[in-house]
Amino acid sequence: MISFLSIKEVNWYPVFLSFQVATIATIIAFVVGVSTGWLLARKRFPGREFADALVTLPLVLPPTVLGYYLLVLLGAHSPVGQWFKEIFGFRLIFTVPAAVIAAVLHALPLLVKSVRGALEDLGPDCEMIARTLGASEFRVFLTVTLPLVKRTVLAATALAFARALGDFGVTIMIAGNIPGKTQTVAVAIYDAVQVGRENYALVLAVIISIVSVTILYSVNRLTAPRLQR
Amino acid sequence: MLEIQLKKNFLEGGLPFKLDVSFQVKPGISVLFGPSGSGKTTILASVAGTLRPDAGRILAGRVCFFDARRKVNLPIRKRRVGYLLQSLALFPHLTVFGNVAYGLGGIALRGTTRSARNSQVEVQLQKLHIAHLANRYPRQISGGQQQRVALARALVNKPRVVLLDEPLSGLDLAVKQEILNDLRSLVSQLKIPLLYVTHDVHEAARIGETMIVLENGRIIANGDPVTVIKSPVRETVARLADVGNIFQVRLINKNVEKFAQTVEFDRCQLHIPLTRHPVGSMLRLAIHSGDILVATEKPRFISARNILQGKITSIERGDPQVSLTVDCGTIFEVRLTTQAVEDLGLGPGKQIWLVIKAYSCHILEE
Repeated sequence: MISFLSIKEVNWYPVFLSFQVATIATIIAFVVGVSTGWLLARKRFPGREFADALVTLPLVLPPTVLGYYLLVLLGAHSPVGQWFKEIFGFRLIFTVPAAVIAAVLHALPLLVKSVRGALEDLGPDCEMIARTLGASEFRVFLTVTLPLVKRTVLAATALAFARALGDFGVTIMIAGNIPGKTQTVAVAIYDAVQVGRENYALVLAVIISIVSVTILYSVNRLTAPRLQR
Repeated sequence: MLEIQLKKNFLEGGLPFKLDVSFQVKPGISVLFGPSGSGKTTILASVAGTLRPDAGRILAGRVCFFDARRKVNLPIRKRRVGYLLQSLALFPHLTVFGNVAYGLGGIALRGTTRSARNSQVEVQLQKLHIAHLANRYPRQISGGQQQRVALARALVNKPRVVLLDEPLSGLDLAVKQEILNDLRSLVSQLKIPLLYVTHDVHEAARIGETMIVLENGRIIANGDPVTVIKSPVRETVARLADVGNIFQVRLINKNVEKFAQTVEFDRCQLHIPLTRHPVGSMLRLAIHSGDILVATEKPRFISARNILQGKITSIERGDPQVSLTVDCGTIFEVRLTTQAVEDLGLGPGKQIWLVIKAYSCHILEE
Protein backbone atom coordinates (compact mmCIF):
# COMPACT_ATOMS: atom_id res chain seq x y z
CA MET A 1 0.00 0.00 0.00
CA ILE A 2 1.41 3.35 -1.10
CA SER A 3 0.94 6.18 1.32
CA PHE A 4 2.20 9.75 1.43
CA LEU A 5 5.13 10.45 3.64
CA SER A 6 5.08 13.25 6.17
CA ILE A 7 6.91 16.38 5.09
CA LYS A 8 9.74 15.69 7.53
CA GLU A 9 10.46 12.24 6.14
CA VAL A 10 10.89 13.46 2.55
CA ASN A 11 14.40 14.17 1.30
CA TRP A 12 13.88 17.50 -0.45
CA TYR A 13 17.37 17.78 -1.89
CA PRO A 14 16.52 16.35 -5.37
CA VAL A 15 13.63 18.82 -5.69
CA PHE A 16 15.80 21.84 -4.84
CA LEU A 17 18.57 20.58 -7.09
CA SER A 18 16.21 20.00 -10.01
CA PHE A 19 14.76 23.51 -9.76
CA GLN A 20 18.21 25.02 -9.39
CA VAL A 21 19.57 23.14 -12.40
CA ALA A 22 16.49 23.83 -14.51
CA THR A 23 16.57 27.57 -13.70
CA ILE A 24 20.24 28.01 -14.57
CA ALA A 25 19.87 25.81 -17.65
CA THR A 26 16.83 27.81 -18.85
CA ILE A 27 18.69 31.11 -18.53
CA ILE A 28 21.63 29.74 -20.54
CA ALA A 29 19.35 28.06 -23.08
CA PHE A 30 17.37 31.32 -23.45
CA VAL A 31 20.41 33.41 -24.35
CA VAL A 32 21.95 30.76 -26.61
CA GLY A 33 18.62 29.66 -28.08
CA VAL A 34 17.29 33.13 -28.94
CA SER A 35 20.53 34.20 -30.59
CA THR A 36 20.88 30.90 -32.47
CA GLY A 37 17.25 31.07 -33.61
CA TRP A 38 17.80 34.64 -34.80
CA LEU A 39 20.97 33.68 -36.68
CA LEU A 40 19.23 30.77 -38.37
CA ALA A 41 16.23 32.87 -39.36
CA ARG A 42 17.97 36.08 -40.42
CA LYS A 43 21.45 35.29 -41.66
CA ARG A 44 22.57 33.31 -44.67
CA PHE A 45 25.73 31.29 -44.10
CA PRO A 46 27.08 27.98 -45.35
CA GLY A 47 26.01 25.02 -43.24
CA ARG A 48 22.96 26.86 -41.89
CA GLU A 49 20.60 23.90 -42.20
CA PHE A 50 23.28 21.58 -40.86
CA ALA A 51 23.63 23.78 -37.79
CA ASP A 52 19.86 23.69 -37.36
CA ALA A 53 19.88 19.89 -37.57
CA LEU A 54 22.69 19.68 -35.04
CA VAL A 55 20.85 21.86 -32.52
CA THR A 56 17.64 19.87 -33.05
CA LEU A 57 19.36 16.51 -32.59
CA PRO A 58 18.67 16.24 -28.81
CA LEU A 59 14.98 16.26 -29.66
CA VAL A 60 15.20 12.96 -31.57
CA LEU A 61 18.33 11.23 -30.32
CA PRO A 62 17.94 8.73 -27.46
CA PRO A 63 19.09 10.61 -24.32
CA THR A 64 21.61 7.89 -23.57
CA VAL A 65 23.27 8.41 -26.95
CA LEU A 66 23.50 12.13 -26.31
CA GLY A 67 24.82 11.42 -22.82
CA TYR A 68 27.39 9.06 -24.23
CA TYR A 69 28.69 11.68 -26.66
CA LEU A 70 28.92 14.21 -23.87
CA LEU A 71 30.74 11.71 -21.69
CA VAL A 72 33.31 11.24 -24.44
CA LEU A 73 33.48 14.95 -25.17
CA LEU A 74 33.63 16.26 -21.59
CA GLY A 75 35.12 13.24 -19.74
CA ALA A 76 38.13 13.57 -17.46
CA HIS A 77 40.51 12.48 -20.21
CA SER A 78 39.03 14.59 -23.00
CA PRO A 79 40.64 17.95 -23.91
CA VAL A 80 37.56 19.83 -22.71
CA GLY A 81 37.48 17.88 -19.45
CA GLN A 82 41.18 18.53 -18.79
CA TRP A 83 40.85 22.19 -19.64
CA PHE A 84 37.90 22.49 -17.24
CA LYS A 85 39.86 20.82 -14.45
CA GLU A 86 42.82 23.17 -14.98
CA ILE A 87 40.62 26.27 -14.80
CA PHE A 88 38.21 25.31 -12.01
CA GLY A 89 40.23 22.75 -10.10
CA PHE A 90 37.64 19.96 -10.22
CA ARG A 91 36.49 17.60 -12.91
CA LEU A 92 33.33 18.46 -14.82
CA ILE A 93 31.78 15.07 -15.15
CA PHE A 94 29.43 13.83 -12.37
CA THR A 95 28.94 17.33 -10.93
CA VAL A 96 26.09 19.83 -10.83
CA PRO A 97 27.52 21.85 -13.78
CA ALA A 98 27.37 18.64 -15.80
CA ALA A 99 23.69 18.31 -14.87
CA VAL A 100 23.19 21.90 -16.07
CA ILE A 101 24.86 21.10 -19.40
CA ALA A 102 22.59 18.09 -19.80
CA ALA A 103 19.51 20.21 -19.10
CA VAL A 104 20.64 22.98 -21.47
CA LEU A 105 21.10 20.56 -24.35
CA HIS A 106 17.76 19.02 -23.62
CA ALA A 107 15.96 22.37 -23.58
CA LEU A 108 17.79 24.17 -26.38
CA PRO A 109 16.03 22.72 -29.47
CA LEU A 110 12.64 23.93 -28.23
CA LEU A 111 13.84 27.52 -28.03
CA VAL A 112 15.85 27.51 -31.25
CA LYS A 113 13.04 25.95 -33.26
CA SER A 114 10.29 28.23 -32.03
CA VAL A 115 12.37 31.43 -32.21
CA ARG A 116 13.43 30.60 -35.76
CA GLY A 117 9.86 29.78 -36.76
CA ALA A 118 8.44 32.92 -35.17
CA LEU A 119 11.05 35.16 -36.82
CA GLU A 120 10.53 33.59 -40.21
CA ASP A 121 6.75 34.03 -39.91
CA LEU A 122 7.26 37.63 -38.89
CA GLY A 123 8.78 38.67 -42.21
CA PRO A 124 11.40 41.37 -42.60
CA ASP A 125 9.19 44.45 -43.14
CA CYS A 126 8.90 45.81 -39.58
CA GLU A 127 12.60 45.40 -38.92
CA MET A 128 13.47 47.01 -42.25
CA ILE A 129 11.27 50.01 -41.54
CA ALA A 130 12.86 50.38 -38.09
CA ARG A 131 16.27 50.57 -39.80
CA THR A 132 15.08 53.24 -42.23
CA LEU A 133 13.95 55.19 -39.16
CA GLY A 134 17.53 55.27 -37.96
CA ALA A 135 17.58 52.40 -35.47
CA SER A 136 20.76 50.38 -34.95
CA GLU A 137 20.69 46.59 -35.31
CA PHE A 138 20.75 46.25 -31.54
CA ARG A 139 17.84 48.65 -31.08
CA VAL A 140 15.88 46.92 -33.84
CA PHE A 141 16.35 43.59 -32.11
CA LEU A 142 15.37 44.87 -28.67
CA THR A 143 12.49 47.16 -29.63
CA VAL A 144 10.98 45.46 -32.67
CA THR A 145 12.10 41.87 -33.14
CA LEU A 146 11.86 40.65 -29.55
CA PRO A 147 8.54 42.30 -28.68
CA LEU A 148 6.98 40.87 -31.82
CA VAL A 149 7.96 37.31 -30.96
CA LYS A 150 7.56 37.83 -27.21
CA ARG A 151 4.69 35.43 -26.69
CA THR A 152 6.28 32.62 -28.67
CA VAL A 153 9.59 33.10 -26.90
CA LEU A 154 7.94 33.14 -23.46
CA ALA A 155 5.99 30.00 -24.24
CA ALA A 156 9.09 28.25 -25.57
CA THR A 157 11.05 29.31 -22.48
CA ALA A 158 8.40 27.83 -20.21
CA LEU A 159 8.47 24.57 -22.16
CA ALA A 160 12.26 24.57 -22.07
CA PHE A 161 12.11 24.95 -18.28
CA ALA A 162 9.74 22.01 -18.00
CA ARG A 163 11.97 19.91 -20.19
CA ALA A 164 15.11 20.90 -18.29
CA LEU A 165 13.33 19.97 -15.07
CA GLY A 166 12.48 16.50 -16.26
CA ASP A 167 15.64 15.30 -17.98
CA PHE A 168 16.65 11.78 -16.98
CA GLY A 169 18.78 10.07 -19.62
CA VAL A 170 21.45 12.68 -20.30
CA THR A 171 21.67 13.60 -16.61
CA ILE A 172 22.26 10.07 -15.40
CA MET A 173 24.92 9.53 -18.08
CA ILE A 174 27.05 12.61 -17.39
CA ALA A 175 26.01 13.85 -13.95
CA GLY A 176 25.42 10.43 -12.48
CA ASN A 177 23.29 9.43 -9.55
CA ILE A 178 25.08 10.70 -6.47
CA PRO A 179 22.52 11.23 -3.67
CA GLY A 180 22.83 14.62 -2.04
CA LYS A 181 25.08 15.81 -4.89
CA THR A 182 23.87 15.21 -8.44
CA GLN A 183 20.67 13.29 -7.84
CA THR A 184 17.85 15.25 -9.51
CA VAL A 185 14.15 14.44 -9.10
CA ALA A 186 13.94 12.33 -12.26
CA VAL A 187 16.93 10.29 -11.20
CA ALA A 188 15.77 10.07 -7.57
CA ILE A 189 12.43 8.63 -8.67
CA TYR A 190 14.19 5.91 -10.64
CA ASP A 191 16.41 5.25 -7.64
CA ALA A 192 13.48 5.12 -5.20
CA VAL A 193 11.56 2.65 -7.34
CA GLN A 194 14.65 0.46 -7.66
CA VAL A 195 15.01 0.16 -3.88
CA GLY A 196 11.28 -0.16 -3.26
CA ARG A 197 10.65 3.28 -1.69
CA GLU A 198 7.52 3.65 -3.76
CA ASN A 199 5.85 6.31 -1.61
CA TYR A 200 8.90 8.58 -1.95
CA ALA A 201 8.80 8.07 -5.73
CA LEU A 202 5.11 9.01 -5.67
CA VAL A 203 5.68 12.27 -3.81
CA LEU A 204 8.41 13.34 -6.25
CA ALA A 205 6.34 12.27 -9.26
CA VAL A 206 3.34 14.29 -8.04
CA ILE A 207 5.48 17.39 -7.49
CA ILE A 208 6.99 17.19 -11.00
CA SER A 209 3.56 16.50 -12.53
CA ILE A 210 1.92 19.49 -10.82
CA VAL A 211 4.72 21.81 -11.94
CA SER A 212 4.58 20.47 -15.50
CA VAL A 213 0.79 20.79 -15.76
CA THR A 214 0.99 24.37 -14.44
CA ILE A 215 3.64 25.21 -17.04
CA LEU A 216 1.72 23.63 -19.91
CA TYR A 217 -1.43 25.46 -18.87
CA SER A 218 0.37 28.81 -18.85
CA VAL A 219 1.93 28.03 -22.23
CA ASN A 220 -1.51 27.39 -23.67
CA ARG A 221 -2.76 30.65 -22.24
CA LEU A 222 0.22 32.49 -23.69
CA THR A 223 -0.12 31.10 -27.18
CA ALA A 224 -3.93 31.23 -27.36
CA PRO A 225 -5.20 33.50 -30.15
CA ARG A 226 -5.72 37.07 -28.97
CA LEU A 227 -9.47 37.08 -29.54
CA GLN A 228 -10.15 34.21 -27.19
CA ARG A 229 -8.41 35.77 -24.25
CA MET B 1 17.52 66.51 -55.74
CA LEU B 2 17.86 62.75 -55.91
CA GLU B 3 20.15 61.30 -58.56
CA ILE B 4 19.68 57.67 -59.39
CA GLN B 5 21.87 55.72 -61.73
CA LEU B 6 21.84 52.00 -61.20
CA LYS B 7 22.20 48.58 -62.74
CA LYS B 8 21.06 45.34 -61.24
CA ASN B 9 20.81 41.86 -62.71
CA PHE B 10 18.78 39.19 -61.03
CA LEU B 11 16.49 36.28 -61.65
CA GLU B 12 12.79 37.00 -61.61
CA GLY B 13 10.67 33.85 -61.64
CA GLY B 14 13.61 31.94 -63.13
CA LEU B 15 14.14 34.47 -65.93
CA PRO B 16 17.06 36.89 -66.02
CA PHE B 17 15.94 40.45 -65.38
CA LYS B 18 18.08 43.46 -66.13
CA LEU B 19 17.43 46.81 -64.49
CA ASP B 20 19.33 49.70 -66.02
CA VAL B 21 18.07 53.19 -65.22
CA SER B 22 19.38 56.69 -64.83
CA PHE B 23 17.22 59.62 -63.79
CA GLN B 24 16.86 62.55 -61.43
CA VAL B 25 14.06 63.30 -59.00
CA LYS B 26 13.34 66.91 -58.20
CA PRO B 27 11.73 68.03 -54.94
CA GLY B 28 8.04 67.27 -55.22
CA ILE B 29 6.18 64.15 -56.25
CA SER B 30 7.52 61.94 -59.02
CA VAL B 31 5.54 58.92 -60.01
CA LEU B 32 7.26 55.69 -60.99
CA PHE B 33 4.78 54.02 -63.26
CA GLY B 34 4.88 50.63 -64.91
CA PRO B 35 3.49 47.10 -64.84
CA SER B 36 4.44 44.73 -62.05
CA GLY B 37 7.86 43.29 -62.64
CA SER B 38 9.13 46.40 -64.44
CA GLY B 39 11.65 47.20 -61.71
CA LYS B 40 9.84 49.88 -59.68
CA THR B 41 10.23 48.21 -56.31
CA THR B 42 13.86 47.33 -57.04
CA ILE B 43 14.60 51.01 -57.56
CA LEU B 44 12.97 51.96 -54.25
CA ALA B 45 14.80 49.18 -52.39
CA SER B 46 18.11 50.37 -53.83
CA VAL B 47 17.48 53.94 -52.69
CA ALA B 48 16.38 52.76 -49.23
CA GLY B 49 19.44 50.53 -49.00
CA THR B 50 17.71 47.21 -48.51
CA LEU B 51 19.04 46.02 -51.84
CA ARG B 52 22.52 46.54 -53.19
CA PRO B 53 22.77 47.49 -56.88
CA ASP B 54 25.45 45.84 -59.02
CA ALA B 55 26.70 49.14 -60.33
CA GLY B 56 25.88 52.83 -60.38
CA ARG B 57 25.47 55.72 -57.99
CA ILE B 58 22.72 57.13 -55.81
CA LEU B 59 23.02 60.68 -54.50
CA ALA B 60 20.53 62.49 -52.28
CA GLY B 61 21.56 66.10 -52.52
CA ARG B 62 25.17 66.12 -51.36
CA VAL B 63 24.86 62.82 -49.47
CA CYS B 64 26.16 59.77 -51.29
CA PHE B 65 23.97 56.72 -50.56
CA PHE B 66 25.75 54.39 -52.92
CA ASP B 67 28.65 54.53 -55.31
CA ALA B 68 29.90 51.28 -56.78
CA ARG B 69 33.10 52.80 -58.09
CA ARG B 70 34.06 54.47 -54.79
CA LYS B 71 32.75 51.46 -52.85
CA VAL B 72 30.32 53.55 -50.83
CA ASN B 73 27.21 51.88 -49.45
CA LEU B 74 25.69 53.97 -46.67
CA PRO B 75 23.89 51.80 -44.06
CA ILE B 76 20.10 51.99 -44.16
CA ARG B 77 19.84 53.73 -40.81
CA LYS B 78 22.13 56.55 -41.88
CA ARG B 79 20.30 57.32 -45.12
CA ARG B 80 17.28 58.99 -43.50
CA VAL B 81 14.80 57.74 -46.05
CA GLY B 82 11.07 57.77 -45.37
CA TYR B 83 9.91 54.43 -46.72
CA LEU B 84 6.27 53.46 -46.95
CA LEU B 85 5.62 49.85 -47.90
CA GLN B 86 2.45 48.41 -49.31
CA SER B 87 2.26 46.24 -46.19
CA LEU B 88 2.67 49.44 -44.08
CA ALA B 89 4.57 47.38 -41.48
CA LEU B 90 3.24 49.37 -38.54
CA PHE B 91 4.73 48.15 -35.27
CA PRO B 92 1.80 46.19 -33.80
CA HIS B 93 3.14 46.36 -30.24
CA LEU B 94 3.38 50.15 -30.21
CA THR B 95 0.60 52.73 -30.09
CA VAL B 96 0.05 55.19 -32.92
CA PHE B 97 2.10 57.67 -30.90
CA GLY B 98 4.85 55.10 -30.32
CA ASN B 99 4.97 54.24 -34.02
CA VAL B 100 5.40 57.85 -35.08
CA ALA B 101 7.88 58.60 -32.26
CA TYR B 102 10.11 55.63 -33.16
CA GLY B 103 12.08 57.56 -35.75
CA LEU B 104 12.86 60.34 -33.29
CA GLY B 105 15.02 58.31 -30.95
CA GLY B 106 14.97 55.59 -28.36
CA ILE B 107 13.55 55.24 -24.87
CA ALA B 108 16.80 56.73 -23.57
CA LEU B 109 15.48 60.23 -24.30
CA ARG B 110 14.91 62.19 -21.12
CA GLY B 111 13.84 65.64 -19.99
CA THR B 112 13.77 68.39 -22.59
CA THR B 113 14.77 66.23 -25.57
CA ARG B 114 11.94 63.92 -24.63
CA SER B 115 9.33 66.64 -24.41
CA ALA B 116 10.62 68.21 -27.63
CA ARG B 117 10.19 64.87 -29.30
CA ASN B 118 6.70 64.44 -27.92
CA SER B 119 5.53 67.80 -29.20
CA GLN B 120 7.07 67.06 -32.58
CA VAL B 121 5.11 63.81 -32.74
CA GLU B 122 1.91 65.61 -31.72
CA VAL B 123 2.34 68.19 -34.47
CA GLN B 124 2.89 65.42 -37.01
CA LEU B 125 -0.21 63.55 -35.83
CA GLN B 126 -2.26 66.73 -36.17
CA LYS B 127 -1.00 67.38 -39.68
CA LEU B 128 -2.29 63.97 -40.72
CA HIS B 129 -5.52 64.33 -38.70
CA ILE B 130 -4.84 61.34 -36.45
CA ALA B 131 -4.09 63.11 -33.16
CA HIS B 132 -7.22 61.58 -31.61
CA LEU B 133 -5.84 58.08 -32.27
CA ALA B 134 -2.53 58.59 -30.45
CA ASN B 135 -3.16 55.96 -27.79
CA ARG B 136 -4.72 53.32 -30.03
CA TYR B 137 -2.90 50.31 -31.38
CA PRO B 138 -2.65 49.71 -35.15
CA ARG B 139 -5.14 46.81 -35.04
CA GLN B 140 -7.74 49.10 -33.44
CA ILE B 141 -7.90 51.60 -36.32
CA SER B 142 -9.18 51.51 -39.91
CA GLY B 143 -7.14 50.88 -43.05
CA GLY B 144 -7.14 54.54 -44.06
CA GLN B 145 -6.08 55.58 -40.57
CA GLN B 146 -3.27 53.03 -40.66
CA GLN B 147 -2.06 54.58 -43.92
CA ARG B 148 -1.97 57.96 -42.24
CA VAL B 149 0.02 56.59 -39.30
CA ALA B 150 2.54 54.96 -41.64
CA LEU B 151 2.81 58.24 -43.55
CA ALA B 152 3.30 60.25 -40.35
CA ARG B 153 6.00 57.83 -39.23
CA ALA B 154 7.81 57.99 -42.58
CA LEU B 155 7.83 61.80 -42.64
CA VAL B 156 8.45 62.68 -38.99
CA ASN B 157 12.25 62.72 -38.92
CA LYS B 158 12.57 65.06 -41.91
CA PRO B 159 13.77 62.46 -44.41
CA ARG B 160 16.10 63.35 -47.28
CA VAL B 161 13.98 61.29 -49.64
CA VAL B 162 10.52 59.74 -49.36
CA LEU B 163 9.68 56.45 -51.05
CA LEU B 164 6.11 55.23 -51.36
CA ASP B 165 5.50 51.74 -52.71
CA GLU B 166 1.87 51.53 -53.86
CA PRO B 167 0.82 52.93 -50.51
CA LEU B 168 -2.84 53.43 -51.25
CA SER B 169 -3.82 50.19 -52.90
CA GLY B 170 -6.83 48.62 -51.28
CA LEU B 171 -8.37 51.88 -50.10
CA ASP B 172 -11.62 53.22 -51.43
CA LEU B 173 -11.48 56.20 -53.71
CA ALA B 174 -12.74 58.85 -51.27
CA VAL B 175 -10.22 57.94 -48.57
CA LYS B 176 -7.49 57.75 -51.18
CA GLN B 177 -8.31 61.27 -52.43
CA GLU B 178 -8.13 62.75 -48.94
CA ILE B 179 -4.82 61.10 -48.16
CA LEU B 180 -3.35 62.14 -51.51
CA ASN B 181 -4.33 65.75 -50.82
CA ASP B 182 -2.71 65.71 -47.38
CA LEU B 183 0.38 64.04 -48.77
CA ARG B 184 0.69 66.63 -51.50
CA SER B 185 0.54 69.56 -49.09
CA LEU B 186 3.00 67.92 -46.66
CA VAL B 187 5.53 67.26 -49.39
CA SER B 188 5.31 70.77 -50.79
CA GLN B 189 6.08 72.10 -47.29
CA LEU B 190 9.05 69.75 -46.83
CA LYS B 191 10.55 70.43 -50.28
CA ILE B 192 12.00 66.94 -50.61
CA PRO B 193 12.00 64.50 -53.52
CA LEU B 194 9.31 61.88 -53.27
CA LEU B 195 9.15 58.75 -55.41
CA TYR B 196 5.69 57.30 -55.66
CA VAL B 197 5.26 53.85 -57.16
CA THR B 198 1.94 52.99 -58.71
CA HIS B 199 0.48 51.02 -61.58
CA ASP B 200 -2.73 53.04 -61.57
CA VAL B 201 -2.50 55.64 -64.33
CA HIS B 202 -5.21 57.87 -62.87
CA GLU B 203 -3.44 57.95 -59.54
CA ALA B 204 -0.21 58.73 -61.40
CA ALA B 205 -1.78 61.61 -63.31
CA ARG B 206 -3.58 62.90 -60.22
CA ILE B 207 -0.58 63.13 -57.94
CA GLY B 208 2.50 63.27 -60.10
CA GLU B 209 4.35 66.41 -61.03
CA THR B 210 6.67 64.16 -62.99
CA MET B 211 5.96 60.73 -64.36
CA ILE B 212 8.64 58.16 -65.07
CA VAL B 213 7.47 55.15 -67.05
CA LEU B 214 9.33 51.88 -66.64
CA GLU B 215 9.10 48.82 -68.78
CA ASN B 216 11.29 45.72 -68.49
CA GLY B 217 13.84 47.49 -66.32
CA ARG B 218 14.22 50.53 -68.55
CA ILE B 219 12.82 54.03 -68.51
CA ILE B 220 10.70 54.55 -71.60
CA ALA B 221 9.35 58.01 -70.74
CA ASN B 222 10.05 60.74 -68.23
CA GLY B 223 8.28 64.07 -67.96
CA ASP B 224 5.05 65.88 -67.19
CA PRO B 225 2.29 63.25 -66.77
CA VAL B 226 -0.04 64.59 -69.46
CA THR B 227 2.80 64.90 -71.95
CA VAL B 228 4.04 61.45 -71.10
CA ILE B 229 0.63 59.89 -71.49
CA LYS B 230 0.11 61.65 -74.83
CA SER B 231 3.64 61.04 -76.09
CA PRO B 232 4.56 58.38 -78.68
CA VAL B 233 4.99 56.08 -75.70
CA ARG B 234 1.27 56.44 -75.22
CA GLU B 235 0.53 53.05 -76.76
CA THR B 236 2.76 51.28 -74.29
CA VAL B 237 1.30 53.24 -71.42
CA ALA B 238 -2.22 52.63 -72.63
CA ARG B 239 -1.61 48.94 -72.95
CA LEU B 240 -0.12 48.89 -69.47
CA ALA B 241 -2.95 50.50 -67.67
CA ASP B 242 -6.06 51.09 -69.76
CA VAL B 243 -5.35 54.78 -69.89
CA GLY B 244 -8.33 56.11 -71.75
CA ASN B 245 -8.35 59.84 -72.34
CA ILE B 246 -6.42 62.36 -70.32
CA PHE B 247 -6.34 66.00 -71.37
CA GLN B 248 -4.78 69.19 -70.12
CA VAL B 249 -7.75 71.61 -70.06
CA ARG B 250 -8.51 75.21 -69.12
CA LEU B 251 -11.54 76.09 -67.06
CA ILE B 252 -13.31 78.85 -69.02
CA ASN B 253 -16.56 79.43 -67.17
CA LYS B 254 -18.58 78.32 -64.17
CA ASN B 255 -22.30 78.15 -63.58
CA VAL B 256 -22.66 77.74 -59.84
CA GLU B 257 -26.49 77.61 -59.87
CA LYS B 258 -26.55 74.75 -62.32
CA PHE B 259 -23.57 72.97 -60.72
CA ALA B 260 -21.78 73.00 -64.05
CA GLN B 261 -18.70 74.44 -65.66
CA THR B 262 -17.03 74.43 -69.05
CA VAL B 263 -13.50 73.47 -69.95
CA GLU B 264 -11.67 74.06 -73.20
CA PHE B 265 -8.76 72.28 -74.81
CA ASP B 266 -7.43 72.21 -78.34
CA ARG B 267 -10.60 72.90 -80.36
CA CYS B 268 -13.02 71.17 -78.00
CA GLN B 269 -15.24 72.37 -75.19
CA LEU B 270 -16.76 70.07 -72.58
CA HIS B 271 -19.40 70.63 -69.92
CA ILE B 272 -18.40 69.00 -66.68
CA PRO B 273 -19.68 68.96 -63.08
CA LEU B 274 -18.78 71.92 -60.87
CA THR B 275 -15.53 71.79 -58.89
CA ARG B 276 -13.99 74.40 -56.59
CA HIS B 277 -11.30 75.52 -59.04
CA PRO B 278 -11.32 79.17 -60.18
CA VAL B 279 -11.95 80.16 -63.79
CA GLY B 280 -8.68 80.09 -65.73
CA SER B 281 -7.23 77.06 -63.86
CA MET B 282 -5.35 74.48 -65.85
CA LEU B 283 -6.71 71.06 -64.95
CA ARG B 284 -6.22 67.43 -65.90
CA LEU B 285 -9.33 65.80 -67.20
CA ALA B 286 -9.84 62.06 -67.62
CA ILE B 287 -12.54 60.28 -69.57
CA HIS B 288 -12.62 56.52 -69.55
CA SER B 289 -12.65 55.23 -73.11
CA GLY B 290 -15.54 52.91 -72.30
CA ASP B 291 -17.69 55.82 -71.04
CA ILE B 292 -18.00 57.45 -74.48
CA LEU B 293 -21.01 56.66 -76.72
CA VAL B 294 -20.86 56.72 -80.51
CA ALA B 295 -23.72 57.82 -82.81
CA THR B 296 -23.75 57.82 -86.61
CA GLU B 297 -26.30 60.67 -86.73
CA LYS B 298 -26.33 63.76 -84.58
CA PRO B 299 -28.31 62.73 -81.49
CA ARG B 300 -31.25 64.90 -80.38
CA PHE B 301 -33.35 64.79 -77.22
CA ILE B 302 -30.58 63.34 -75.13
CA SER B 303 -29.51 64.17 -71.58
CA ALA B 304 -25.78 63.89 -72.21
CA ARG B 305 -24.25 67.39 -72.19
CA ASN B 306 -21.43 66.86 -74.65
CA ILE B 307 -21.86 65.95 -78.30
CA LEU B 308 -18.74 66.24 -80.42
CA GLN B 309 -18.52 65.71 -84.14
CA GLY B 310 -15.49 63.79 -85.38
CA LYS B 311 -13.97 61.38 -87.81
CA ILE B 312 -12.68 57.88 -87.11
CA THR B 313 -8.96 57.82 -87.84
CA SER B 314 -8.22 54.20 -86.96
CA ILE B 315 -9.79 51.04 -85.65
CA GLU B 316 -7.91 48.47 -83.64
CA ARG B 317 -9.68 45.19 -83.16
CA GLY B 318 -8.95 43.49 -79.88
CA ASP B 319 -10.74 40.75 -78.10
CA PRO B 320 -13.45 41.35 -76.89
CA GLN B 321 -13.35 45.14 -77.40
CA VAL B 322 -12.61 47.36 -80.34
CA SER B 323 -10.59 50.50 -79.85
CA LEU B 324 -11.35 53.54 -82.04
CA THR B 325 -9.35 56.70 -82.34
CA VAL B 326 -11.55 59.63 -83.25
CA ASP B 327 -10.42 63.09 -84.33
CA CYS B 328 -12.72 65.80 -82.94
CA GLY B 329 -10.09 68.53 -83.11
CA THR B 330 -8.24 66.50 -80.53
CA ILE B 331 -7.84 62.73 -80.48
CA PHE B 332 -10.22 60.67 -78.37
CA GLU B 333 -9.92 56.98 -77.65
CA VAL B 334 -13.22 55.11 -77.58
CA ARG B 335 -13.90 51.49 -76.73
CA LEU B 336 -16.86 49.64 -78.16
CA THR B 337 -17.97 46.04 -78.45
CA THR B 338 -17.35 44.22 -81.74
CA GLN B 339 -21.14 43.96 -82.11
CA ALA B 340 -21.62 47.74 -81.86
CA VAL B 341 -18.90 48.39 -84.43
CA GLU B 342 -20.52 45.94 -86.89
CA ASP B 343 -24.09 47.18 -86.36
CA LEU B 344 -23.10 50.81 -86.92
CA GLY B 345 -20.85 49.95 -89.85
CA LEU B 346 -17.94 51.86 -88.36
CA GLY B 347 -14.71 52.16 -90.27
CA PRO B 348 -11.82 54.57 -90.74
CA GLY B 349 -12.88 57.92 -92.27
CA LYS B 350 -16.50 57.66 -91.12
CA GLN B 351 -18.17 60.76 -89.67
CA ILE B 352 -19.53 60.11 -86.19
CA TRP B 353 -20.70 61.93 -83.06
CA LEU B 354 -19.23 61.25 -79.64
CA VAL B 355 -21.66 61.48 -76.72
CA ILE B 356 -20.13 62.14 -73.30
CA LYS B 357 -22.04 62.64 -70.05
CA ALA B 358 -20.81 65.47 -67.85
CA TYR B 359 -20.42 62.98 -65.01
CA SER B 360 -18.10 60.82 -67.12
CA CYS B 361 -15.57 63.67 -67.08
CA HIS B 362 -13.25 63.41 -64.10
CA ILE B 363 -10.95 66.15 -62.91
CA LEU B 364 -7.74 64.49 -61.75
CA GLU B 365 -6.34 67.34 -59.71
CA GLU B 366 -8.09 68.19 -56.49
